[in-house]
Amino acid sequence: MASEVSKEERLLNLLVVLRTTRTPLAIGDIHRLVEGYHPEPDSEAFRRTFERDKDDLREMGVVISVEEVKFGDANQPGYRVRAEDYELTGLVLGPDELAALRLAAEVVRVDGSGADADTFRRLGGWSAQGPPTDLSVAVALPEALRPLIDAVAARQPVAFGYRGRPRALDPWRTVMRRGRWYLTGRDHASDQPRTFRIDRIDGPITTMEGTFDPPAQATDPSLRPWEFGSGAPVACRVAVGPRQAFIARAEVGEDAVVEERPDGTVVLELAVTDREGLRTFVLSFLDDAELLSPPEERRAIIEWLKA
Amino acid sequence: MSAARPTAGDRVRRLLAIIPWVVAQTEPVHVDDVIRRFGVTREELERDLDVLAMVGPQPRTPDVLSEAWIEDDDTVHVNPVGELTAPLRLSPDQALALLVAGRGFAGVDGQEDVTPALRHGLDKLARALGLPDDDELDVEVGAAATPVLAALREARADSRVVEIDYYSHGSDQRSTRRVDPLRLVVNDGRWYLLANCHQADGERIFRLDRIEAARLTDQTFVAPASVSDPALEPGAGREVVIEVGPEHRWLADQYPTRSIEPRGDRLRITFAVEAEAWLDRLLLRLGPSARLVRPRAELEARRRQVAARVLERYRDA
Repeated sequence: MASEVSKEERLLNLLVVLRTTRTPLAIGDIHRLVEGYHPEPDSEAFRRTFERDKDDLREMGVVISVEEVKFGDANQPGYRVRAEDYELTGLVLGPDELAALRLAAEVVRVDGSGADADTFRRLGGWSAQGPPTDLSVAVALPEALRPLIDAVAARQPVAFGYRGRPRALDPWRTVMRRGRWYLTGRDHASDQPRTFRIDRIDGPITTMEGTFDPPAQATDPSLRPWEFGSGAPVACRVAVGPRQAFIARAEVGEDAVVEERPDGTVVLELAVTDREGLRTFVLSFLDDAELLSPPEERRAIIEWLKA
Repeated sequence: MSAARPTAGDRVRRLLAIIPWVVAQTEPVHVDDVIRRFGVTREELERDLDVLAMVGPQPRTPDVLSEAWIEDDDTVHVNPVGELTAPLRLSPDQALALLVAGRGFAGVDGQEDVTPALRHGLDKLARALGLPDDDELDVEVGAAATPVLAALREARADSRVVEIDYYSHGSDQRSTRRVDPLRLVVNDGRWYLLANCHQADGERIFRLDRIEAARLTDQTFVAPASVSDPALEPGAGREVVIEVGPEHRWLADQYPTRSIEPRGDRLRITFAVEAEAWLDRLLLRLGPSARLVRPRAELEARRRQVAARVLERYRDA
């Protein structure tokens, strides 16, 4: 009788049956093979319970594929769980590797889809001593990352909406810097490398026909607002005083340093394509920074301050 | 971890993880081991094992059903139906999350943490996801000056007081302070040090990219038993109201905003002021097209003052 079989038992049996079958199972087969459903295979009660069980399994991360099966003269939906959907086949991790990944996941907590309690259990449970207490990292994983990674792996171009406009891209790499995720690739419209912030992708990501060859050399997305424009870059020199020189150097990079003065002031040379980005950068140091050259940019910032 | 009651799906998932682990152990498994590792109570485990005992293929006669029980000596025994013995592999989403966590972890300086086991595990994950090259997914959890981070981690490990040269962004001040480093945290891509500051005589949060240098001293401190993650959200501060053109909409993304109100084709934004120097920077950045609404006189005077201060630098042009 259905009432004697617990829901967990029925779910487990259903899961086992769906995983072990070599061909998709019609609903009548499932009724025959799994105990715990209403005795009448044609009943509404059975169908409803089955639908809820499917939802429960799907929520667990189980992908139930639906294919057509021939049942007598008609076609019916047939269900099964394909191994490659449910788990990464071919991925066999040894106990040391599992332990190392577990430690990493205990220190670097990934929010968003992925490393939840179930993940830890599949890694063999939580470690005895718990995570180290001196370090704690939180990383967000946007939903769009997975389909983008799949496209990067498959070398398939993608189309998506970005801040209201449609884009098409050969996706080369995904990068996480300073808490933000970026996608770099060849923009189809301009035929140039472009970087997109993944959290600014609106709407669905669809894969396009064909494949591409990624470039040999990886490009890092620029995080420097003064480089966000297009056109030929203008060389600009900025002096930053000793109080904040170290911050400017870290932000711009050591190869931008052109002069170090005895008082600790540093002079940096930036390649600028975006005037607003330059101005924001310089003014963020308040009176510790001065835009030295070229004269027209220096005049522009003086005008801005006087306005 | 969520305190909500586990659903049937949660319980099934839990059982699917416990079974292969128990089966894989070569030594007898004590019930306490399972309880600690998998986050279950004894009652939950017993119930789970009862469920397992009823699982098997048709005709579900005793010879094909799974067996599961806890012995008198508190060891756990399972003899599950074939399909359930295989260790549960990671789903693609889980593998991606672990790859991100692992690469992020490996990228944190302290290279001694990157064991061969971690490297191999990450390689396998990457290949399973179809990403043979390191470049395709690059994770840097937060930028931090290597010497500063390394010094702070060492100090924390040895419970040694550290002297830091710090630039406070909020007050636009430099200082040198002695602190007890308690915890290092990455949040939203930035490194923070939670420390007991001797000067302030209390816990303070310091952004690592504003620490110019960190020097270990001979002084030690007693680390507290537990340190909670600091609240990194900006506190309740005073408000200022500014009206800008729609091209400045991005301001709301970057600064703590209490509200945004459309006013015709412009936007009226209410900001929470974190610290005074922060407000100075915002005013300089907005420029003449922004209308300073409230407190108007104060904001206008302030903008004039800070602009004048910066203009001093350009005097001998």
